[in-house]
Amino acid sequence: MLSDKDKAYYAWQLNVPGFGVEGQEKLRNATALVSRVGGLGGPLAFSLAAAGFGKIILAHSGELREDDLNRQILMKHDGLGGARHEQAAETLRRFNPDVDVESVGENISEGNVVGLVEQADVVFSCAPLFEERLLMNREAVRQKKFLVDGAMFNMEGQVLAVKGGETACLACLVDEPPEHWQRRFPVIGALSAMMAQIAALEGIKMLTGLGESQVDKLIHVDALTMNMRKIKVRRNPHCKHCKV
Amino acid sequence: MKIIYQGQIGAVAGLTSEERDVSSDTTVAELIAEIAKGKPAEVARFLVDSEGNVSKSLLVVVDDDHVLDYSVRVGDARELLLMPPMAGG
Ligand SMILES: [Zn+2]
Repeated sequence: MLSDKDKAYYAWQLNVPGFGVEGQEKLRNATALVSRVGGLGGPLAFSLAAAGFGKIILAHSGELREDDLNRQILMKHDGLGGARHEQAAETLRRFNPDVDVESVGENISEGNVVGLVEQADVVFSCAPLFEERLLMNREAVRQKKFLVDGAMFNMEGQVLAVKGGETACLACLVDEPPEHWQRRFPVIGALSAMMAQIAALEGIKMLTGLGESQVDKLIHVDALTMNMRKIKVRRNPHCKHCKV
Repeated sequence: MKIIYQGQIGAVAGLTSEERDVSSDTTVAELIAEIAKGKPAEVARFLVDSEGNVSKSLLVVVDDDHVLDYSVRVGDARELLLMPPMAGG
């Protein structure tokens, strides 16, 4: 049951057709795992907090550097040198104290991925490394959880929504780090924030049943032309993670 | 046929798309190999491996449909989109 306080707090979104009190209750009862919380995961987690998720678990290691601040909007300039996961959690708690925010000062690894995914209803894969994204994908598929993976390069971005074990997964498209991949990617913060919002909406849609989940599609946006493509993808019979 | 280069390929090639005459009985693998031949090595390495086969990590999309079987013929397809996996987060 949604409290009167929640009904007042989320009044504007309760009027969205197909969402309503039922959708709000589903979010209130849901736990999201977001890793990492930089240019993509930061704005994404912000929107999850605004939407009223019950619990958000943030996983991100490392300290804030000056060159993070063109896109990592949960951080603060005077937090330079401080732990990023703590700053991100603090921003979300101050923004919406009713959301239970837990933060872990680690990136996704073989050692923590099983336990972290177990706690989540939906996993938002926002890491810049294929190794971390593939670990989250593997576990989401194995545990039959929802996963939304986002990525970007230059002025382009992509989002893949996955119903674990049911629809095409990240490993159906790419199952190991590509050979000629470069770690440092060019990005303007507004681009990663835009992809974050698409990913947040797809997660909210899968959890609440609102609209049409864009599973089995790779959403690709080219911000130079503002063209959006929905590339039809299908489960790869040789997929290392989801093959039947 | 319109060939579209996205992500790192477009950035390295300095080219986002080009038109190309392609006969309908060409396979996707043949078309990609042919495109790679006309490109400098730093672009071609995203498209094909050292043996000239389609690169394992390349995402190949024909008319907004992800292709897994490169032996299919292009037929009357309008667009081929080539994209290496993105990872920025
Ligand atoms: Zn798969």
